[in-house]
Amino acid sequence: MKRLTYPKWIDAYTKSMHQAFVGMTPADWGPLDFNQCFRALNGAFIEKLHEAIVQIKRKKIPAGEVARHFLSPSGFRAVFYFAVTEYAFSDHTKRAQAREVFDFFNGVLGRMFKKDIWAYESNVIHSENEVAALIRRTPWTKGSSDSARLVARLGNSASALSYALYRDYYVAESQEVYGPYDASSHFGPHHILVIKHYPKMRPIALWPQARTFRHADKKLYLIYEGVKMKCEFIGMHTRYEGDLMSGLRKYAVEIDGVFYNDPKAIKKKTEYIGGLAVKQWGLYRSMSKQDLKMKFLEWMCWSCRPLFELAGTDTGPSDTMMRNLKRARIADRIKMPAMMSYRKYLKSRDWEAYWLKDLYTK
Amino acid sequence: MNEKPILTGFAASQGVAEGRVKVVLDPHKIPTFKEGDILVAKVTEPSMIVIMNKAAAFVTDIGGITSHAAIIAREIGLPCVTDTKNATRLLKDRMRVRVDGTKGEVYRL
Repeated sequence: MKRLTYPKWIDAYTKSMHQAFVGMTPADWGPLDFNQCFRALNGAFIEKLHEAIVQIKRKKIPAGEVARHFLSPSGFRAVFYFAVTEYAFSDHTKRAQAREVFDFFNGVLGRMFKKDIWAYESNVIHSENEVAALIRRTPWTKGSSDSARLVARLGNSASALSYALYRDYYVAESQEVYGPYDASSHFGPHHILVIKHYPKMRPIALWPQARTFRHADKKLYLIYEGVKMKCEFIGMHTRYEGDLMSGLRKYAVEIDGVFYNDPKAIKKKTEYIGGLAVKQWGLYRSMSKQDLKMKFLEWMCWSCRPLFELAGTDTGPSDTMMRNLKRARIADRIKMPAMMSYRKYLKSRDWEAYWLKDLYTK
Repeated sequence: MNEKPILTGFAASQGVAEGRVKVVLDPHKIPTFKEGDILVAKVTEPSMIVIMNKAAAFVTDIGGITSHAAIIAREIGLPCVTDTKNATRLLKDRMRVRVDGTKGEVYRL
């Protein structure tokens, strides 16, 4: 029997991916079957990434510098998964190129996160010192069940707008949940800090009408007592133990750098952002399949725009990407059944757990 | 109350709530939704955010622990049952139900 020797990160990555799919499935995602899109590209986006990475290396830009330019670390993690998926569906002729892309992403992710880079349990980008400084400078408001629901609804409206702007596969671009961070030295035992961040909420390059959106960035800072939180692969896939309503001790709402603590003002923002989400969602009704395919390519490139900008390469889809996707037959939705067991997943040729190891061994 | 649940699924967000069913089949056509109604859908989508902020509980045909409905429900402390397979077929508008998000069960009242 052939013995596989592969980088250790593959085990951590595949374990986290499996957990994420167990949590997400069964699923029905849209507005296209993204797996069919990745198949149609046949490695064209990996090629574009590779071209940028070659330039980054030529310019000797360190991984930490690249990491600093990405506002959505979970989005970057998701892009890694999409690149892996694209390669899985490709004709596998560009093995060395794919490995170089995956290794580069792994290196950048290692600089983005303080631990647990594949988010098996947490989504931690802040150091202890950064957390302490953040807690000190935040103007906290006392929490209660009512304020917990008030703030959660604001988060839900922001989340809805995020989904409407980036849809099911690229939503991590503008939704992050960071934590859990230990806040016990400031607030007492069993207190944690959770940060919800909604960046890139005015993506004019993607949606010109976003020019009229009043806000581009929202942050919710939440101090819980007796609540445990974990993430699964991307920050927004959170799971909690404990009561989020009665456990909220302090909170702060920051929108475009301004803090709000008046419940009426927060409610007004919630309604405004929710209204934008509904309106934005309505735009998809008038989009043809070809429009959606092009939007998919725009999302794809947008998610790596900082990388292309640093590299000095073109930020838009390549001709090959457009050509490959334009002529492909793509379904409206991707329907995923419940995830198989971890044992089966490890041995399935359909999943990266199997073939990623193979890619690195040959 | 009938002691046997009329639907079972995945216990995606804890808690119990009672209310009248409102089935949303087309996310582009949101019906009149009263505060405290039970939102029943194949899956939830962001276009439903306004009614999700009014609902007492969510029940969906499909979805897991980190599906959209499940995440939103946990954030605002509402019961949620996902992966019931056929909630949108079995539950009818105005039917009074109890949603037990801790057990993953729906009872007719």
